[in-house]
Amino acid sequence: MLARFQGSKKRPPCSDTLGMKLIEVEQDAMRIRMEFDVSPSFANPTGAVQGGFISAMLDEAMSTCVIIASNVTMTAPTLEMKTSFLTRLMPGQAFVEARILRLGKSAAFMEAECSTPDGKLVAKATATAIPMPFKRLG
Amino acid sequence: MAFDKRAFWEHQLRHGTPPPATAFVGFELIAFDENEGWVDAAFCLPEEATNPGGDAQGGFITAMLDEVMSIAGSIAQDGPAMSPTLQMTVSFLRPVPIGQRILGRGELVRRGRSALFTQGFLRSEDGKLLAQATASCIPRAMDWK
Repeated sequence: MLARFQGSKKRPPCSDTLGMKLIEVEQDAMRIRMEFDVSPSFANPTGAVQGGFISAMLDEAMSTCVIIASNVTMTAPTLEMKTSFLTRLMPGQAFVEARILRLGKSAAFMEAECSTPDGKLVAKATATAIPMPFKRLG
Repeated sequence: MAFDKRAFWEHQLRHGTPPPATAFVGFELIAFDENEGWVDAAFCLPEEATNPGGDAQGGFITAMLDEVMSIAGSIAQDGPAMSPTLQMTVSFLRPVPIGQRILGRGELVRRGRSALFTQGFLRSEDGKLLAQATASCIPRAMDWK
């Protein structure tokens, strides 16, 4: 599964924009880990990464987690997402770990954590989504 | 000389060089009221924000909301300021298109001594509500360049 995603030529633009790389997959535990290379073009007036772009990385990881946990049969458009911003993140390397708490027929519950390369927790998110057959989104 | 809040924010939001994140989401000021603490702005997301479904990825939708909500929290303070977000909840009501004009609204809900509460809305040009959010943030004085 890891090789399949890393070798994919059909990456959506948002994944490239965020410099996303899938680095770990635990399919049975419904857990993944991603590395990001955050562009300085996402900086706020203080030079730190604007919160929305941290949310973008967390969303990317949680959404991909559903796709992988469902063995690439389902995707899950996010309904609602709550993010806590614990400390600031500077552009550059960042890591996100995402887990699925429950993958049901009509709802999915996910959580994710973003941290710096030295392991400091930057942000934590929880989200709900509706699983849908993958093909419906083309 | 007294701080002219209106002139300061008019300059920052309309004539200043936008921070990279602000420029990325295509921010364009429409109107604001620094006393009531609200701002209207237009956005246009680049192709780079596209998800596998062809619409905007949720984080980039969140980025637009964070822009208008942070401005609402900043302009409501007394001097040059910013309002770092502590926590934000976003509801994604409808798909948000790429490359189209999106109207954003940020509002201050409550200004406390040590916390600010804000809310934000994104609508299409024909008035459909696309996403909404609430957030808590902290007031912080800041010397803008």
